[in-house]
Amino acid sequence: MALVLGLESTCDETGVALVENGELLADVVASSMDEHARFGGIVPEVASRAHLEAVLPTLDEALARAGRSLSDVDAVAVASGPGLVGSLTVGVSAAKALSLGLGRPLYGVNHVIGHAAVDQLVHGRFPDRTMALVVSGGHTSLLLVDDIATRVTELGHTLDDAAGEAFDKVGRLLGLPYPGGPHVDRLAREGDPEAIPFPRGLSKPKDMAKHAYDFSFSGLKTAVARWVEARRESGLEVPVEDVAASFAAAVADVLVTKTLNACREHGVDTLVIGGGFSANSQLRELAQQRGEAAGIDVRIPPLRYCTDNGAMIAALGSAVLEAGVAPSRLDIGVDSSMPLSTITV
Amino acid sequence: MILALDTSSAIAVALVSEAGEVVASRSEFNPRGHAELLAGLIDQVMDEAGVSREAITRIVVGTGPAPFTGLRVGLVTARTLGHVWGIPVEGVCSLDAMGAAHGGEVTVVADARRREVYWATYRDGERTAGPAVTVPGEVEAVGTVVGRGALLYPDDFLRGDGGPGSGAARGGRGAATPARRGPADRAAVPPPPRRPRRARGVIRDLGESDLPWMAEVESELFGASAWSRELIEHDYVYGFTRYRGIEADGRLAGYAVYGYDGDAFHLMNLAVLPAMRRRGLARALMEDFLAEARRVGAPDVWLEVAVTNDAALALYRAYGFEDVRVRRKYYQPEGVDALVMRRALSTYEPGSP
Repeated sequence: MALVLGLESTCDETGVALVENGELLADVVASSMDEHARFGGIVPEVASRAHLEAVLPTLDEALARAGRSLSDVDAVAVASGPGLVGSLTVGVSAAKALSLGLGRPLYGVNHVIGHAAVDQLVHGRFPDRTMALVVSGGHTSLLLVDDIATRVTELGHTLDDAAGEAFDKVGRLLGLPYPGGPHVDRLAREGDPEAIPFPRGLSKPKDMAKHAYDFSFSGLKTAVARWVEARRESGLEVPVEDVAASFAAAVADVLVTKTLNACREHGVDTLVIGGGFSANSQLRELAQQRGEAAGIDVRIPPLRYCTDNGAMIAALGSAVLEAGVAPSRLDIGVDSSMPLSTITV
Repeated sequence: MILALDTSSAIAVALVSEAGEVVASRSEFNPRGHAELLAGLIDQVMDEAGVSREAITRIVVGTGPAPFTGLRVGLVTARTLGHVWGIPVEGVCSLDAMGAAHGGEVTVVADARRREVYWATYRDGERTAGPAVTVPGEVEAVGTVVGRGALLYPDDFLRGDGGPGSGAARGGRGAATPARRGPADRAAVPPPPRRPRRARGVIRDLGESDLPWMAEVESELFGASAWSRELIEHDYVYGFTRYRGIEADGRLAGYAVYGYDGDAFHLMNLAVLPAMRRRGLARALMEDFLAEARRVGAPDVWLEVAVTNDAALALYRAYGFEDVRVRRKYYQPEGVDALVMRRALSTYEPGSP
C-alpha cells in the first residue's frame, strides 16, 4: 500500500493530489487564473508568486480531504517539466523540501505524460499499447505508450501553436474574453462547421510524407484572421458562430484524422485523449464517432482530470513507483522544455 | 538548533546553535542553481553536522530584498520544511544579516538588477536606514560599504580618497569585501575569521563591465588560444565560475577565474598585465584562490598550465602544486602540451606558499 503525493505547478494551477494503489483519495487545485484574466494571458511572475502562496494551503486541503497526515505519504511526485520556469521552480522546491523533510523518495516526472497517465485513475490500467493525444493550451503531442512508467515514444507534435493556444488566439480575434477557448467552443456549437472551408494544417500529401503525425495551427489561425478581416472590409457582418464552428471543425478534423491514422499504423486499439483541450466538444464528439467506426476504444477522462491538476502527477508517480523506477536525486533541476522521451528525471 | 537559509544572492545554508555558533555551513555561488542545489545543501549540512531533523527547532530564511528568481526557492523550501517538521519559520531581511555581521557603521548594497541597488545602513548591527531600492548614485552610504552592489558600481561606492567605502575598497580579501555570488554575502551566517594579509593590490570580483577589458587582455597575452569575449560573457553568467580581479595603483592589473562544480575546484585562468608583474599580484590571486577553495570545503585544487610557461610553472610549484599528468596538444591552435597539476588543501597554510 503506497500513498503517493502528486504536486503540479507547471503553469498557473497549483495542484496537490493523493493516490493510493491506483485510487484517487483527494485532488485539490488552486488557480491564479482570475489574476491572469486581467492581463489577457499568463504572467509568469504572477503565476510563480501565486504558487508560493498556494502550495501549503493546497497541500493541507488535500490531506484533510483524504483523511491522511503527511507522515502517511510514501513518495512525493512532482512535475519538473515542461512548463514555466518560475512556476516549476516553486513546485519542485516544495517537493524537494517534502521529500527531504519526510525522508521519502522524490520522483520528478513529465507533466505532459501525466496528462495521459491520469486516465488510469478513471478507466483503469492501459493495455500493453495505447495511443495518447495530449492537447492543451501549451501542448499538442501524439504519444505511443508501451509502458506509461518506462516507455513512451512521441510520434508527433505541433510545429507552432498548441491547439488550445490557437483557440485562445482566435477568441481574441473575434473579440471574446480571455481565455477564448471555451467561448469559441460555446459559439461553435451554434454555428455551421461546414460554412467556411478553413485549411487542415500539414495534411497535404507533400507534408504528410515528412509530418504524418505533426500538427500546425498557425496557418489556420491566419486564414481565420484574413477571412474575418476581408469580411469586415466589405462592410459585412461577421457570422461569429459560423467562423467558430468552421475553425473548430478544422482543428478537430486534423487532430482526429492524424491520431486515428497513427492507431492504424501502429496496430493500437486504445486511444486516450488528455489535456485541457480535450474539453473541446467538437474534438470529443468527432473522436468518439470516428473511433467507434474504426473499432478503437476512445478514452477521455472527465473534464476535471483533463485540466492541470495534482492527480495526473500522482497517477504517473504511482505508475513509476510501481514499476520500480529509481527515485530522482535531490539536485534535479526544472526543465522548461522537457522532451517527451523523458518520463522521470 | 537553527537552520538558516538564504537564496537572495548565493545559495547559503547553515546550522547555528541557539548560542549563535555556526555548527556547519555550505554555500554555492551558482547564480542559476538555486532550485537544483538548495535541498541537497541542506541535506549535506545536516549530514556533516550529524544533526537529525528532531534537533532543529526553527528555521530562519532570508527574505531579500532580492530578485524573486532565487529568493522564492529559499522561501518555499523554508516554509515547506517548517510545515513538515512543525517548527516555526522566521524571515529576516537579507541585508540585515550582512549588516549584523559587521560592527560599527556599515552600508549594505545588493544588486537589484536593471542598474539599481537594494541598500540599508547599520550601526552595530541595528538598521539605521532602508531597506530601499534606488539607483546607485542615490544611496546615502555611511561607514564601510559591503555587498555585491557596491562592486558592480565601483564609481559610486569604492572611492580611494578615504571617504565612505574606502574601507571595503582597501580592505583586501577581508570579511568586509563582498563576494559577487560567494559565501561572504550569505545571510544569517557570521563571516569567517579575518586573516591579516600583506597589501599587494586589492582583490575584488569582476563586474560585468570589466569583462571587455579582460577579453582585451586575454587576446594580447594569449593570442589565438585566448578566451573570446563571447566565451567570457557566457561563462560569467552560466558557468560554475567566479571571476576575480586584482587592482594595483587604482586600476585592474590582473584577473583569475575559479571553477567549482561542487566537486573539483579548478584554477581556470590567471593573468597579470606585463607592466604590473614582479609585484606579487599573481601570488595574491593564488592565495585568494586557495582561500576560496578552502572556504567551500574542496579537498584539493587543480589547474592546467602550458609546459612552455616557465614563470607560471615556477609560481605553481612554489605553492605546492604537483605534476599529475601531461595532456598532449591541449592548447590549440598552437598544439602546446598542458601539464595538469594538483595541490591538496589539507596541508595548506594560508598566507604562505
